[in-house]
Amino acid sequence: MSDAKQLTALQLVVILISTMIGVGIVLMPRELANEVDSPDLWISIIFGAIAISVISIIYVLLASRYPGKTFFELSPLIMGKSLGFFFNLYYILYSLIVAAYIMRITAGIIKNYLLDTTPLYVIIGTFILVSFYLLSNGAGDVVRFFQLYFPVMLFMFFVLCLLSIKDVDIQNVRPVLKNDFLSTLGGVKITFFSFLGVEFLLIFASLIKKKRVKSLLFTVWTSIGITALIYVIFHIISIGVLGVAELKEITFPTIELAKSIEFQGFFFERFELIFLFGWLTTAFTSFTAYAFSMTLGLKRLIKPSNWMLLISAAGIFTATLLPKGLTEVFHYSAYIQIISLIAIVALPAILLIVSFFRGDSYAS
Amino acid sequence: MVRSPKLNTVDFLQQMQKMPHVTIKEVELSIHLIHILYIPGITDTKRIQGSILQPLMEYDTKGKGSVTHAFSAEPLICLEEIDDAHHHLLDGFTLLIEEETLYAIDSAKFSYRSVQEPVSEMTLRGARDGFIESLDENIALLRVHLRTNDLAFENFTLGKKSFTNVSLAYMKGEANEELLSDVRTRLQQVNATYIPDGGVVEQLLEKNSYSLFPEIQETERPTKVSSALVEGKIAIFVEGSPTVLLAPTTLNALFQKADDYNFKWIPATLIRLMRYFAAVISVMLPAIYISLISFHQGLIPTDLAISISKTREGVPIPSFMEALIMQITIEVLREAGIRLPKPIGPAVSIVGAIVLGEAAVTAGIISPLMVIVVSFAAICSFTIPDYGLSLALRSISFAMLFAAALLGIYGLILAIFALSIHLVRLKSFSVPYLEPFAPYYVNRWKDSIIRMKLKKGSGNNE
Repeated sequence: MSDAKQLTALQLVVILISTMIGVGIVLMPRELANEVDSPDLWISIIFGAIAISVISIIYVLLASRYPGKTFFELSPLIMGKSLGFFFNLYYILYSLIVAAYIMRITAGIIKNYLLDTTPLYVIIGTFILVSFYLLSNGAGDVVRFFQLYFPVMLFMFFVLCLLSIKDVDIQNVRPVLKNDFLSTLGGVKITFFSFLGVEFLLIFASLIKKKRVKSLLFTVWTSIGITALIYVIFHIISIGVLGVAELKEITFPTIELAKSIEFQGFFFERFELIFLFGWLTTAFTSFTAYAFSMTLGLKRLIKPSNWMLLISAAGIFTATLLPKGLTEVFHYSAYIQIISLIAIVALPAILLIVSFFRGDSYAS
Repeated sequence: MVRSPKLNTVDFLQQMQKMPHVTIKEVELSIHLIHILYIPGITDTKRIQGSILQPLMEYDTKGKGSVTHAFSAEPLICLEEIDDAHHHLLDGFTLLIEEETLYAIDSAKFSYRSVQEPVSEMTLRGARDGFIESLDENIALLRVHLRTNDLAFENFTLGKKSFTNVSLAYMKGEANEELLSDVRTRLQQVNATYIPDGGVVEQLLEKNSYSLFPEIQETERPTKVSSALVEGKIAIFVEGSPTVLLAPTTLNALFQKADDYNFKWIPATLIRLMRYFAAVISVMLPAIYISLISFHQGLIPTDLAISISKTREGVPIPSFMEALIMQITIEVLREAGIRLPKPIGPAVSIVGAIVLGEAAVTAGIISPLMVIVVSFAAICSFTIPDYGLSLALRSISFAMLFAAALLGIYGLILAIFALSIHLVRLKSFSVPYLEPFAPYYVNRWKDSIIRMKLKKGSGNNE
């Protein structure tokens, strides 16, 4: 009972969902509306979930073949020292880039909606500082923090949905399946990336005890399923309230949705404050997960020291401040998708195939 | 520990004769001379007369052999070391010297106050007994509520000068063995000269001395101790202190009150929920208020914003300073209220609340809404049952105020994150502080934030 030495299935679900739901929820409606351009764009999310579920089999197989080994321990073991080193380096860079991306979007939204005169580096600096405070003491704290805020996040989504329901115009949601199948499928290339975070099965692997493939797969698929459900409900409500045409134009549709809720006689009248708290929580957990993966990788790569935390924090800070504005960040997102695709599909797949050929299984 | 030299009764007697406060009586028996030593102020002379001298005389007329046979009811301890003899004498024992051997008989009578209701932990219903300054009496009070064989005690002596007796109580079979040995080693590691009170022991046992939150719970109520023991916690009694320490503790335990179990479960749950809500309000409300009016006026409903700006008209100081001044004033009032004698205390709060607050508003220095916000937060903080926790939250409310003044709602949210991270990291005797919320122990949720109905046929768990 003392520390999170081993994760229960529930804890794993919490971690995976907290990592998956992040900045995607504020960006995806617009990107998806531009790509699919029809009210049934939420069907793309289901396809995306199915795609990631298939990919997640790779992680589950790897995790059960080498129980207790993180990605950074796996790659040198399977690929040999030098090739494994490059795998790890790539994965660290990937974590850095995604963390910086999440950070930049978050900071952009904060600047846009809450602190329009505060300099960006102050917003980013304080956020990174708090996040690294959480990281500085290892995985146990991270897991407990995620657990603490998971109900907060769920509650926020629940309330937002409940309050928006009365503004939903059913005409906006119809017709379903008007579109041709191909364009719906085209949306997958956006929705797929909103499920980034499943790969953390391999990062938190040191805390997962040896489980059967079936139960692990069930846990992972449950997490993907719940995330997909939250996304789908959210998108249906977004379309219902704002309409597809409006979704395409607004930079952050979800926040506008929260803003549009008005309750006369309610003290806050405007709901976006509570929404921003809940959403900042999800951004914080996603960011922390990637920053954690980066520090974990660096610990493998160089001698563990306290400087490593400082170096990673400084690295993310610098990377975050590189793009000049949000438009430039959105411009980069296509490259980030390619980088992610290599990191979460190609690398694990290579690892799995090579490990099959070598036939060595750590499990014994 | 270095063993003290062996006792030589003749030397000891000579040494004691030089001590002005030790009374020495010689009792001439038919077989041999017996010396009786005691310190008058801390012994019961009637008891010495009745249960020591009288049996001795009776024994002299008909008994034979050692005097140990004279005492039937009183336990007789045979002492062999000088230090032991000194300690027993100072503990109120009467020493009996029969030739080469020295015996000690309990005859202590220290002055204690009688059992009263604890001032810091009032209840509406339920037991009104509170611990006093006597260790034996406190353990007796505990026994009233917990009459079981499984109750185990271990004794320690802390303080190189004060020799304070400390008793560790736990339930056999309930208390975790790891936890027990942890508490034991921490008690043995205590290296202090003087132990004035239980609060000092608490700080000496704590690991996170930089944390604001209490790692060990303090209580003056025997019922609280007994239910904690049943739950498998460990209680530490300190001689001369009415507070008993309970370890380990969690944030959730600090929010619970004895009264929660004396009412029906639905109102009890509602009250418990309200207490959590009040704690959050007491920490956050002033900070939320100043972040809203100085950073995000757009988030306030229009009508409210207009009325706020009307009340703030003519207030010369920025809202952050306004809040800070009010918060500090309230803290000063609170401290003054505690220190003053009972009849004057309420007078000060009336002067403070009505005269100062009202006058400040009329003078146009403070806006009336700020007075409402800060005083409501202060009232909310009074609902927190544990004083240590309430102190922690009061300090944190200042930090929140600064965070809100620097970065508005964003700063406030980051400050909440930082506070949560601290709590998530904190452990009390290797039990996570936020248990059962992080990590999850779902089966224990029914007695944490909510208080589920008691199962028929099982006792309460406070």
